[in-house]
Amino acid sequence: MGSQTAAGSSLAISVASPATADATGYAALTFTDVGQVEKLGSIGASFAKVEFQPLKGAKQKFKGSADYGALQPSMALDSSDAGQAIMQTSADDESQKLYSFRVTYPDGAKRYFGGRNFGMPETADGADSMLTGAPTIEICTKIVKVAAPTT
Amino acid sequence: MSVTTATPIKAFVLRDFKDATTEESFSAKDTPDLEAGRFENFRAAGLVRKATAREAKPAA
Repeated sequence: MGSQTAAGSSLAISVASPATADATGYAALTFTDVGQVEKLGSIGASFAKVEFQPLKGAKQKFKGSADYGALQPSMALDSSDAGQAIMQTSADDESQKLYSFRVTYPDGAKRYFGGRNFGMPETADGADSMLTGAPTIEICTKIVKVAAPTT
Repeated sequence: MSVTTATPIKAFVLRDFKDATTEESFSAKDTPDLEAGRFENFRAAGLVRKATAREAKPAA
């Protein structure tokens, strides 16, 4: 599949960790979809830039440490949604436990990773807006990419 | 922790909730059979606990 819109994408969470940090390991887990998600945000690693300016010549640039980034979805708060309840549990968890996450794109492609939820602040904005939650999921493992199934 | 067993667990629902994955709704005091991974997700969120033997018995 070529380009696609984000409509139909989903976010899911599991309290379990995979036996192996690969597609097979993550696929064996049971995930619970998070309901009422409005946006998922950016997902992907970036590298620190290490620069060196020699006295003679152009500035040299090197790739430094990897940062797997953070996922910052937003959702309309729904106290009856199981996925949001698990998300809240992960936000309240004061341990260093890793939760497993799965992002699914409309074509069926998946992104798996382990992460820690650093908080889920709630926002009550104007009268004509929904009460929303905006967790910050710091991605702590390499993101496992699974291509869309071929048809 | 890895949860891969397929043995269903008799759960006791602590409050009303719904699962967006299956669009299934659960009501407080229900005692559904849940796949282990699903049970652990719900249990961690405080939505279910293991049903006692008495609760697990079907109503006479």
